[in-house]
Parts: sequence; structure tokens; C-alpha cells
Amino acid sequence: MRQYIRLHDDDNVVVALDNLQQHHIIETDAEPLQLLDDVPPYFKVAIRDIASGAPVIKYGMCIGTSTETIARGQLVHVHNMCSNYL
Amino acid sequence: MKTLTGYLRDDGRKGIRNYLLIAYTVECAHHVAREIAWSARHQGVQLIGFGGCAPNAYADRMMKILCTHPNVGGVLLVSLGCENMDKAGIADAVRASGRPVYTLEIQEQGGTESSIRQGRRWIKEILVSLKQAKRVPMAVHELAVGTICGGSDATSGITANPAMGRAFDMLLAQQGTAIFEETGELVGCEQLMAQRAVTPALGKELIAVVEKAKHYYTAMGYASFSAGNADGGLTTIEEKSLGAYCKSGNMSISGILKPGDRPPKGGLYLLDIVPDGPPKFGWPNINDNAEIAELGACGCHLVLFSTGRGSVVGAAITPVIKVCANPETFSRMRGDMDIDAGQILLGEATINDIAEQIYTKMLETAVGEATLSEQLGHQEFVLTYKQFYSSAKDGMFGKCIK
Repeated sequence: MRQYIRLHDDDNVVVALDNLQQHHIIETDAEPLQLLDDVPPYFKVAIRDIASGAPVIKYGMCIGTSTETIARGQLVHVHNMCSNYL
Repeated sequence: MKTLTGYLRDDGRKGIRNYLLIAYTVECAHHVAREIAWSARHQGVQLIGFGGCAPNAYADRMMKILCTHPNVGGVLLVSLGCENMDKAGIADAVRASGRPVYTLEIQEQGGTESSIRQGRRWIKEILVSLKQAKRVPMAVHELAVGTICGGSDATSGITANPAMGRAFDMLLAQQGTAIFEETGELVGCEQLMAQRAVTPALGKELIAVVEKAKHYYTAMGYASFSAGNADGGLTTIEEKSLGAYCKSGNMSISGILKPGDRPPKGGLYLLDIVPDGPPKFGWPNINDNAEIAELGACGCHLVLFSTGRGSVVGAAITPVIKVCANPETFSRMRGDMDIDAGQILLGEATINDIAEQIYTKMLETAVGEATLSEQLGHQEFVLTYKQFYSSAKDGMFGKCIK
């Protein structure tokens, strides 16, 4: 079983496929990434730092905007990003 | 890769199957139709029909178009006699298309038993001639494929749907026709979709049809994004919709079709399944098979069906290729699943590997190999009341279909 899936090369988040614990280290194309939060299956983790107000990219497309600075390794969900759709 | 072959029809299109359809024109004729079809269900005989008695222009048009679908070689219409469906018009359309057609009227025929006997006699005769039909070479660009997802779960949007999207890209690279659907699941993707339109005017239309869907589903009491979605890891409506939208791949969008519209040329099309005007007959499509029937009516030869929880359906007229998104579901229901896209989660295959498998399976199915749902005898079909304003571009049924 894979630990996560990256759906597109442009993505700044990946999707966890398993229960990943805080401090767990996952391998990436770049440097290994230490998780800053617990990440349940099918939730997203930032694989790059995302500035406040920057687009969150999944499937190579924008799925919303960060509402605060998100560090590489943080869980990305309703607490730190929002929809661009009104 | 194998050379494709198909059955050449008078209108120049080619079918990948040569089915004999038994079509009932009201529920009252369903039993007789089923008795006739059941006896020959393993010989390429399929049952479709419309249950309603009151007239509906959409249902009339759908029946005419489906009875002249490229995969259909002949039609037995089974009518009670007093219903309102335009059975003469359907029979005329089938006859004009060069296919054998016979209308069995139960009231005139003297009831159930004699109708079943007469129907069985007619199809026996027609099956002999259909079996003699020869396949002719067919190019990949003559193939039209639809896509749908049903019984989705969290895996659908990360394995099966992206892989089907890339298989679509491969078909489109060969100038084939690909049709995706369910505007209600595209809420939040309008701007992204509009950017892929071949013209700015089409971009505006794409936004408008999703807008229409949003209003329709809101009127039906359906919310696009629920708390349960967020509990499952989805954060925004656009993220949820992208999981379904990625079935459409990455190529340019050439146009919008309404059910029964035929694509003018190869390319990628959005099927607008949501009725026009104020909500009138209820839910746009009551289940996946109503949608598959509409993809068929737009000329799709076969349909790619992604499922996470494990749908088992096939369809009358258009063979269905089941792409299973979830590896656990696949191991439990492998007898129903043509493609195991869950291998992506297990790290045993990439999205591109599965896309290649789907593309190969499409071509094998087009050549005549039966999909699992075909082998299992599935031939689900649903047609309900709907209303669309005229958009007919095929000339054949160009009148306003309100």
C-alpha cells in the first residue's frame, strides 16, 4: 500500500492513503517530508510551503485558497483553506 | 493493436454490436416484450422500453434515436395499442434507417399468448439474417465513448476517474469522440472547464449549463457539498467536483450536447443531462442507467463506468466497461470489474498504466469481446419523462421537443 498519492506534477498537496501520524517521515521526489499533523486517509498534506492567500493545487488545478501560511508537512483542510467558489 | 471492425449502417455510422432490440412502448406491454426477449437473451436480443402512457416528446425522440443506434440491427416494437407513444414514428424512423422493424400490437394480436408467439416467431427469423451480417473495417476515429461514475467512494476521484480521463486523452489523440456528463457534479469547475472550451462563446455556454444544473438540483433539495464530504477529506466544492471532472481528461472541449444530439465531428463533448425550464418531472436522471441511455442516444458505442463501492450494472445497447477504483472492492467483486484501478493505491500500477489498460479494453470491446457485465447478461435500461428545449442538430428530429 502506498502512503500517499500525488495526482499531478504541479500539485502542492498530496493525498494520504493511510493514517499517517504526526512526525512520521514520508519520502518525496524532493527531500523527505516530516508530517506536522496527523493526517487521516484521503486528507491532504502540503508538500510545499503555501503562502497565505495562495492557490491550493490538486489535479493540477486550483481547489481553493489558503487562509493562512501553510508549512510543508501540514494538514490542508477547512481550518486553513477555503473555496474560491461563491 | 487489433484492427477495429463494425457493422456498417445506412447512415454511414458503424456499430460494434448487432443487437436485436425488443422495445415496449408502455409498461402494459412490458411483460409480453420480456417474454419474447427472455427466450433469446443469449443471442444478442435486448429489451428496452418506456413505461409511461401519457405522451412525452423527449421519450419519443430518445426511443427513435436508440432504436436506430449503430449497435442495433433490428427492432421489434411491442405496443399495447392504446398508449400515446409515437410508435408509428419510431417504426418509420427504424424503417427509414434500413433496419428490419415490426410492430406487435397486443390488443390487435388477440392478447398475451398469441403476441408472445408471434413476437418469438418474428425475432427467430430476423436473428438468422442478423447473424449473417459481416463486420467491416472501422477506424478508431469512428468510435464514440461515454464516461460515467456511480457508486463512488473516496478512491474514485484519485484512481479510476483520472485514469479514465487519460484514456479519453488517448482516444481523442486518435480523433475519436468522447462524451462526459453530469453537470450537477461539475459545480465549482465551470471556470476551469470554460478555459478548455474551443471558443469563448462555448466557454460561456459551459458556465451556463452548470449554473442551470445548480439551480435544478437546489430545487430538488440536493446540496452539492455536505459535511460528510469534509469528514471524508474533501475541503471545497471545487475539489469534490474535480474528482468527477477529471474523467474528462485534459483535451479541449468541442461542444455541449443534449440527450440525443449527435456530435458533429470527433472531439470531447459535455452532455447536458439537466432538463430545460423549471423543474417539471422530478429528478433529472433517477439512476446511472438513465444517464447511460442518454450517452447511447448521443451515439456512444460503449461506456466507461468508474465505481468505488462496486456497481454491477451493464446496459442495453452500449457495452459497459467497469473500472473499479477501490482495491478492496475489486477483490470482493472481481467477477464484475473489468479493470482494477485500485492497483494505483497499492503502488502496483501508475495512473498511466491503468489508462493504457482502459484504452486497450475499449478497443477489445469495440472488436466484439464481451465485457464482464455483458457476459453476466446485464442489460439495464431506464427512460423517464423529461423536458428539453430544441437543440436538435441532426435534422432528423429537428422540431421543438418541448
